[in-house]
Amino acid sequence: MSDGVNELARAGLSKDLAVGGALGAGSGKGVRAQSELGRGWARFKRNKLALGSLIFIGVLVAVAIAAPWLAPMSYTEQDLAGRLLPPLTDGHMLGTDQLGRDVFSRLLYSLRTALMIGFSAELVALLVALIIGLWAGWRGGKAESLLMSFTDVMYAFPSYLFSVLLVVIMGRSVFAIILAIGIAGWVTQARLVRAQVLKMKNLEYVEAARSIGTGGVAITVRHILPNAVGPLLVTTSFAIPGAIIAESGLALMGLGVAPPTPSWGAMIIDGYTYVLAHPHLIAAPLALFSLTMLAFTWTGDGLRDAFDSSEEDHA
Amino acid sequence: MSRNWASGRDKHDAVHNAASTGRVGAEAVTGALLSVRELAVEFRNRRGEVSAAVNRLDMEVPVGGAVAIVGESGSGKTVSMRAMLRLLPETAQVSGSALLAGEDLLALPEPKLRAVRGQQVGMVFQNAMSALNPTRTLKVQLTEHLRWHGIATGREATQRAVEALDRVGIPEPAERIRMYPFQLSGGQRQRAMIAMAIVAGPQLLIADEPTTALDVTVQRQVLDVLKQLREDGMATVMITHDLGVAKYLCDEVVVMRHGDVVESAPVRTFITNAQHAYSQQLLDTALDVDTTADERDTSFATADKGATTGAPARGARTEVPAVNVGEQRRDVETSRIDESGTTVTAEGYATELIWAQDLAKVFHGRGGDVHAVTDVNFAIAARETLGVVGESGSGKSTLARLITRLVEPSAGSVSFDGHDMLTAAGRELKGLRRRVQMVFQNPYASLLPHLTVAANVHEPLRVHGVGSKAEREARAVELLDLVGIPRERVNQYPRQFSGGQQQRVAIARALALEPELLVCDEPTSALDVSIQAQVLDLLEDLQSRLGLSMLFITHNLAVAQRLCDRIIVMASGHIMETASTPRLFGRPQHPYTQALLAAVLPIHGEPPPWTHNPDVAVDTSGELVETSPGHWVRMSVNGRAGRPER
Amino acid sequence: MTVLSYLGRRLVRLVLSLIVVSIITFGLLQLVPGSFSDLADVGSTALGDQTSADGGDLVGRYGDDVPAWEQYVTFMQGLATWDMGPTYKYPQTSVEELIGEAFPVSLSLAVPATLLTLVIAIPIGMLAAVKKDRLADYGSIFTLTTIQALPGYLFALLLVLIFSVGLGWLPVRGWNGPEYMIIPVVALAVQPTAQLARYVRSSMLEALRDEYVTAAYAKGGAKRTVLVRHVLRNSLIPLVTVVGPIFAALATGTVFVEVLLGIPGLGRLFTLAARTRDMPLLMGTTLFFAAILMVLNLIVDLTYGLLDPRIRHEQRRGGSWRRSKRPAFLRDSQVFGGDSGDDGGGGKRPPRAGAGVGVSL
Repeated sequence: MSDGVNELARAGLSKDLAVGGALGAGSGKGVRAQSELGRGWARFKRNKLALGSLIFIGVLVAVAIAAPWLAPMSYTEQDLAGRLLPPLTDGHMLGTDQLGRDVFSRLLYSLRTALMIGFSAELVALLVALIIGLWAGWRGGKAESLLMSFTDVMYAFPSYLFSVLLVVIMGRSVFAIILAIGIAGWVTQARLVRAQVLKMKNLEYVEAARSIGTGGVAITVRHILPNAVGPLLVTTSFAIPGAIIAESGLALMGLGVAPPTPSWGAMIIDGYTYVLAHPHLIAAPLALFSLTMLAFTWTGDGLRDAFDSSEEDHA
Repeated sequence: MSRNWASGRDKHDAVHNAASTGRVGAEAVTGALLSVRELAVEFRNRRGEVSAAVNRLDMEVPVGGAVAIVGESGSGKTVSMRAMLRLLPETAQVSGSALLAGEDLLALPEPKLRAVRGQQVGMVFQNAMSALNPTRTLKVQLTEHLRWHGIATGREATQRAVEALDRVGIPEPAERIRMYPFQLSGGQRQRAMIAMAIVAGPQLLIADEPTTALDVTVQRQVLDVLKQLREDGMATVMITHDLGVAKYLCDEVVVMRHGDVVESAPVRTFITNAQHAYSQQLLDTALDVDTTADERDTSFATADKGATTGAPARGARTEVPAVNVGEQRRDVETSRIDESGTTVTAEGYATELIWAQDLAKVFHGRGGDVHAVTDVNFAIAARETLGVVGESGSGKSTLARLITRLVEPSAGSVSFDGHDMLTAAGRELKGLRRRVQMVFQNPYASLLPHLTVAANVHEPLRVHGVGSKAEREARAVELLDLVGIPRERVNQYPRQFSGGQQQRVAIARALALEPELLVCDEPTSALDVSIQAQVLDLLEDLQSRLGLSMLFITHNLAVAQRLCDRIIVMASGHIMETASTPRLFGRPQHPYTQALLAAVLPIHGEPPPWTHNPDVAVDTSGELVETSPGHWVRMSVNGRAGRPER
Repeated sequence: MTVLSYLGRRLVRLVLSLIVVSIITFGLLQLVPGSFSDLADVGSTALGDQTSADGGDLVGRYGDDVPAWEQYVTFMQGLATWDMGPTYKYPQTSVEELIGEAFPVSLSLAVPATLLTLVIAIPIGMLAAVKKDRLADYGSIFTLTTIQALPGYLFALLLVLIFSVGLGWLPVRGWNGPEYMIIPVVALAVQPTAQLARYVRSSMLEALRDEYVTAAYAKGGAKRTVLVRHVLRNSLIPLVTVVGPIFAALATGTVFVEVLLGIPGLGRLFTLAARTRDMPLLMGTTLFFAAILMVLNLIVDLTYGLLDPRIRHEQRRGGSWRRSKRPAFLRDSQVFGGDSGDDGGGGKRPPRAGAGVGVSL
């Protein structure tokens, strides 16, 4: 209750303070009618770094898909005679690893692994989270307390632990790893979805929608979801790199995708043995990995600035 | 636009004259404690665009005098006062001068300015909850600036702080000073903030809407504290949007609009003889509670609604101002409440549209149960407007949501035209929802932000599968036209409209399904006064044209009086009193109703005497007793209305 | 309600949660393909005769003929008495011994990393907030965002490439003395520093916008005084809620960094257990992690209540203040970092810092 009053007071003041701005906006009468998403996109586009990052991600995805055609050599073919070659020898752009495999080709394929697992795991997490989060948020009651107690238990595990346990159970196939990361991830997102629903459920426009006779499902789909798209986009853009980190981390622990499928984590941990003599073995995956992470983060940051209009910088 | 107002005639010129004398010599300042000249404030945003918040403010506050700055939101009243004390962010550019006892605050070096703040000028903010640091005790917050200014330290400072709390009427100040702000009631918090502003003994108090966020009874209590300070010789600048408050507390009034002063005059002259058109408009649209009316005036009771002396917005200002809201009620004699709380009309139960019986709602929260609504009975006849009046926490908004079944009641029943609202489900409920529509308090929040206003209005039609898509769209345009939204703007989004327009859209949406009952939950309380008047006009007009019944929830007695045929007064979830509007205002019987009425500060006429203590909870024991036909009052067993003496 | 009874309730809940966690973990581990005896067969070659000597205990505890529930009960009894018996891989060593050896190692990284985080992050965050919208603010925010994107082990790699490979100043891997701590501590501190600094910034900005700050200026407060007495104090209170989880995440083993740099801490122990499917060791480490997280959460809540009178007051009235007042994102340091949002009401907005990638180690 008092929070509301607080808000009012603040809004009142800022309204007063912002009078000039408001007048200015009023004079520009022909404000183009735009949907929320459209407005968000327009704001996003203005952020050059974010836009560039998004384009970069697009390039990465294209490269990952085209890896079989782009890779100059097989990523599994060993050449024990040509082990640990430095970059730019014998047509190996980035040299070879401890088994004589072409590092550049392995790098491309590990990008493929990372993106595939990153996107799929997040998709799994998002789908489960949407269904359960929407349901728990809208219905409340038992469904909700079940979700909450379940997440409470989940939070008792350190972040990576649950994925590790699942991999131990399910083995090291790509599918198992996607599930392991996805299942560990949905809980957090389900809570986010639920929190969004709860926030909106008590908004007057949702009450208004109920008062005109709109049913629960219709409200959720037509009114709550569209307005939750922004925040969901933002979390997703942060969750995908999170899943990629998880994938490489699992590989680092020796629990990632079974060899010989390449993964950044495996490349790093394998190459680390030779780091003093052959730093290029880890430098290459480190560089591509970091760039990928940065691209996702900057994109996510741009999305957040574009969609979260209540953020501090708009004050 | 605003320039036109600025260059307005008469009174504004008077301000100019005063300003020029002020500029002639510093000795002219004698008598004036504060003298503001050509104060202007601009804000520069990050992109370097400049926008003006205050174009020009000239005002003067005599020693011990009190000036009200009156204006609607965005008029620049708050900004100008903060600019004067240089409390605005760095993006603000302030020009002009503000002489306090001959020293220009805008030119003072920082350390000297700090010595003025708090010590010579105290400031009271709108919301004490946010203006007091929640993690610090009152003691810390009331004594720290005594130390900063070198006035007192340690025990002596505490002693002064306790005295200040005592002065603003906080009981047991020596104990309460150890409390945190959130441990006090709203009114106490506000008074504690006043104590904080005055503890260092300033000559001037700047109060920025100090009572706007408060309930009326608490507002009166806080204003009385300020009035006492004034009488003790403290000069005051009161920022307010409420002319009643301005009149109660101040001698002079400065009206601001869009950053300009449009008129400044002594309060009483202003009220009877405002010169500027905008001032007139402010006065016209402000509603007074009229307690002189009585049911004996049957001539009014039977008068046709449209042809009354009523609607002050349309009435001539030259009339005697003391009676500005006349009677405009339909025949109240035809409906009254029988013992079960239902409306009995001449034809029996025939015309009653909705009937609520023993409604109750208990919220089970972590901090325990909250009885939001307890045993509420009422009925609304066709074409009747029932008002529900109460302060915050009275349960009135919950009641609105129970009737529309947005909240499931804990007990009781609601019968709408013979259908049981509360057991209805599926198709039947959907059908009933169509006949009962709601208008919410916050127009922007209640409109779907991702749909255009036209889509918002035809959304209900779509949900109920009425007409084809084209028909629905045509109907939406028609409805928007009805509430005064121009055709060319129907494809814009809600955020592109002003608050008043948004509320019109919300009303259009509520009307789309041609409901029989319109439930309005504080539809005007988020709006400025002049816009409030337009929305009320609209509702009144629509009601008479469309033959709607209305349940009108409000905290504003004047609004209720203007619009309602019958009124329920609620407190702590209980009905305290209910009667026809003229009767309730003319002969309130419950002490709580009397207190509510007495708390309202009239623009015309004198404020009634005031004895109510809002810190004591309203006694909700006892039974509703019918004291005269249709007039029910909660009484304790011994037949006395209201709470027993404590 | 007194603090003691609140504490009692929380402790009971903590134990119950721990039991739930143990059941889930144990249940999951029952699904692991291959039984103890299969693993023991494989292991026997490596372990040689030792199996026969100590294996008896293992067979007695986890043999094929022992029903699962009995295995569970035995283990939990062991947990309660801090005697969890031998592990599959090292039958002559007990679970608690291994944990007892590894935990101090992890702790000796976690404590300095947390301190480093605090020392660097708070001033940076404050500076950024005070210089809002200036170059210093934009610069630091950009840097922090960028840094926060990268998991700690990438930083470790970077540091290794620079200081070990390039300059030859520091060892590449191992755990033989103080110089072996530098890279892991710094690498571990980087991401939490970024997270915390952003949190401090937004927390301070929020406090700066509060009306009581204006009120304090209006009372004649000097800028520095107001900043210290009102802004800083209020914005640092919620910091407890960030520092707690950061420390917890670091103390429960910084798996990736430990594995990479060959540090014999809890994280590496857990990895080992997972790789060898060593059920007792997995159970032991998992429950140990869970216990640490829960105890730290409890400490955070108690401290917060102590620091913020509003929470303290609410708690006396018997309300539950665990959920509503804590910045929600802090409750999850899941792989999928991110903003879980609060429980629908109460409390301040979760700060923007939290929406980023959580502490991924």
